[in-house]
Amino acid sequence: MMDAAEDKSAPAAVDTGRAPEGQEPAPETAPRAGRVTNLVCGAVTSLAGVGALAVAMDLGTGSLSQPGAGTWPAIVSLMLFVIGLFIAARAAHFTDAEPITKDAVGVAVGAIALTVAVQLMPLVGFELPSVALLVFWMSVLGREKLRLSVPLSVLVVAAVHLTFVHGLAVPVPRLF
Amino acid sequence: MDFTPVIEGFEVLLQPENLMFCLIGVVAGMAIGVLPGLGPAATIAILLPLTYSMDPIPSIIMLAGIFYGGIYGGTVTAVLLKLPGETASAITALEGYPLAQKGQGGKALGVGAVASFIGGTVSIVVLTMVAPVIAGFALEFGPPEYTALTLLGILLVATIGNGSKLKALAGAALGLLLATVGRDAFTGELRYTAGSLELTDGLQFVPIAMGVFGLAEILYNLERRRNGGSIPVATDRVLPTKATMKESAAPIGRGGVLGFLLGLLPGGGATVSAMASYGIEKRLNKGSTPFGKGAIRGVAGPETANNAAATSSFIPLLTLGIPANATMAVMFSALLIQGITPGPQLVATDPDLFWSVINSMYLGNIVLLVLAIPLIGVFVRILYVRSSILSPIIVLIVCIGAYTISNRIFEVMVVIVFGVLGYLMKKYGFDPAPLVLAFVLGSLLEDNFRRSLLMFDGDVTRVTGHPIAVTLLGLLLVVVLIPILLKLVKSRRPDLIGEDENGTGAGAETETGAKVPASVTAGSEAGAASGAESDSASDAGSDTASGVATGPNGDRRDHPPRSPDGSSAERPEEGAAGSHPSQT
Repeated sequence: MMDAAEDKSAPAAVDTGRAPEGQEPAPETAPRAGRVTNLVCGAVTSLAGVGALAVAMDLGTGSLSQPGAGTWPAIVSLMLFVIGLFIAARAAHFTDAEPITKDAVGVAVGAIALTVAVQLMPLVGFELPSVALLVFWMSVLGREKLRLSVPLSVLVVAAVHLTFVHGLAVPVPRLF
Repeated sequence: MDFTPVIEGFEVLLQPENLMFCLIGVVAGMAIGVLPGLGPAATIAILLPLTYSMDPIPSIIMLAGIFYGGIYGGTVTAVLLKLPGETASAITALEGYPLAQKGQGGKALGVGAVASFIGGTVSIVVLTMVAPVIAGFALEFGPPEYTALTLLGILLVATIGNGSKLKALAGAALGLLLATVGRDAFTGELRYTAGSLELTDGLQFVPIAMGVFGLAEILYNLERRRNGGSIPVATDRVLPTKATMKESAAPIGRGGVLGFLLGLLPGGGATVSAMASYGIEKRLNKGSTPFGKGAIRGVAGPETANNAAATSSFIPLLTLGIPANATMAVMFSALLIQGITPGPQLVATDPDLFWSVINSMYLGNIVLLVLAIPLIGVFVRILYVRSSILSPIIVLIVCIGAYTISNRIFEVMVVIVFGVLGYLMKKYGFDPAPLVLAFVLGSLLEDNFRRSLLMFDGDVTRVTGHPIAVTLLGLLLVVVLIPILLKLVKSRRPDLIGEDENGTGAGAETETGAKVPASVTAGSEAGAASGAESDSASDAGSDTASGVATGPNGDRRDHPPRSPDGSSAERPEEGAAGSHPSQT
């Protein structure tokens, strides 16, 4: 069994989570999050339960013979709250969480770029935001050269246009 | 049993147009399924929009093709990259990858294709026989039975499933809560909509599945692998020789039976059956190649079992309307979109559609076999494309696909929100499968729970008048109590039971007695295993700690076997799969 104590004593299991250029981090050196991370997981789960329970109470829980709109959500929220407490209580025993490393910035940037592109689609059609998104993901996040990402992105968007707009007749907001 | 509708159904299926749709489905399913990290559930969710504008029958046929193509795609990555597309394929990697390293990857893939075909077909034949019988029985089910059955299904998925049980239960509870968003069917009140008009009708399943399975995986990979994909091992002749098939025949036979039976279990049927089959084959192995060094029997048995189980999990879906795992939950949703409500009524009210669903599986399976062997080289080529190029393209397809669900940007935003949530869940060790399954079953569970309360006038003890419901609730109690009892026994007699299961990331014991480390089970439908050792009740894999490499799909990584001094044990071979093409 690999428990938290062993984890600490195993030097191979601890690294920065960053791989050398051109390589993925080896699974065995993937860093593990500690007790605090799991404690936060439990707390967030419990808080979500408390929030949902408050809304359920507002909806009205009725009675067993006449359940209200809030009866079932109240039961589930309570479950969520209790499970969150258990997770927090056993936080030291989990070794299945990973810490957020600075590579997660790429994830945040990717998600934001995606959101921006999606919000632009109804305004200017899907083609231009899609090309911009693909070029950004390939060249900025994926470090591909622009001379590859730009023509490839245009080709992909053209193919998607042909497939969804003409082939499947989907009314996607479009420029052309 | 009257086979006329079955035969008539084949006449429709074998029309050239429908064959073409099946072909497209298999090709698309394999093309997406071979992408590391994307399992069958993600593959179906991503490709689902292709079927929206189609009639029900061609769309079902295409879905069957996507289903089988997606499953086999996972086998390809398991053998060539040691990156299984789903948890069940992790077992295939144990012998498949060593074979590939010896330059015999084609042999493993060929046997895998034949074994998958046989396993799937055996299950479909039995499904054809038993599905109408079970559906007839299920017609007697009322709200209390459905409440108990749904609860049992969710609990089994959460507890038999992957990783920490507590975290899985939290995911399931969140899924149930998300299912309550929107207008209450009984009172008409709005719940958890925060004044949003788009949420009035509740959240839709497909964008959630696309988010937590598809986008989340891509975001996770973005963090871990910003420099391209792994290089697959070259393949040789794919068509199995007579001698190979002779050696594989018995494992295929045993795997088929085992897979079908265990596949009926909600939750981990495919994984458990693949593990059990591996354990049996290892014990019976008298071949020249020891297990762990590329024994073809270790590919044939688990692949057959895995596919037989994947197919037999259609039985609870088609006969009871209860999806047994996340892939079935996506299929459930796909059928609903086509106006087909899986459940006991389907065979009685719409036999044509019912048999179309089943017959399309025969077709999908056959087309996969016909395509897999000659086209394997083409799909392997996809593995050479860097993830920095493939990932954004998939993201775009997911976004456009999500838009087509209701022609609203709102659904695309739901995909993004759940993509980020899924990414965080993966990071923090929460398996997304229970969330998705509980979301699908949530409204069914709540409806039947409230109907039961109304039926009993609030007196829950009246459930004792419903023997089926009582039996199911008894089973539910057993599912809850067994882990507690095991823990108690273990604390008193640690010599009787093996190492701790999950929560500590060490592994998960299954009801067959088989034991897989959390790294294997962590995969869920969407992800893959990272380190796999099969260790069935007796011995299987106790010395097979081959540590299936975790790749871009990663999922929760578990620590590999360590030497007593705490350093990482073995893995000299990983360089082959772990290297990356240089940037161009």
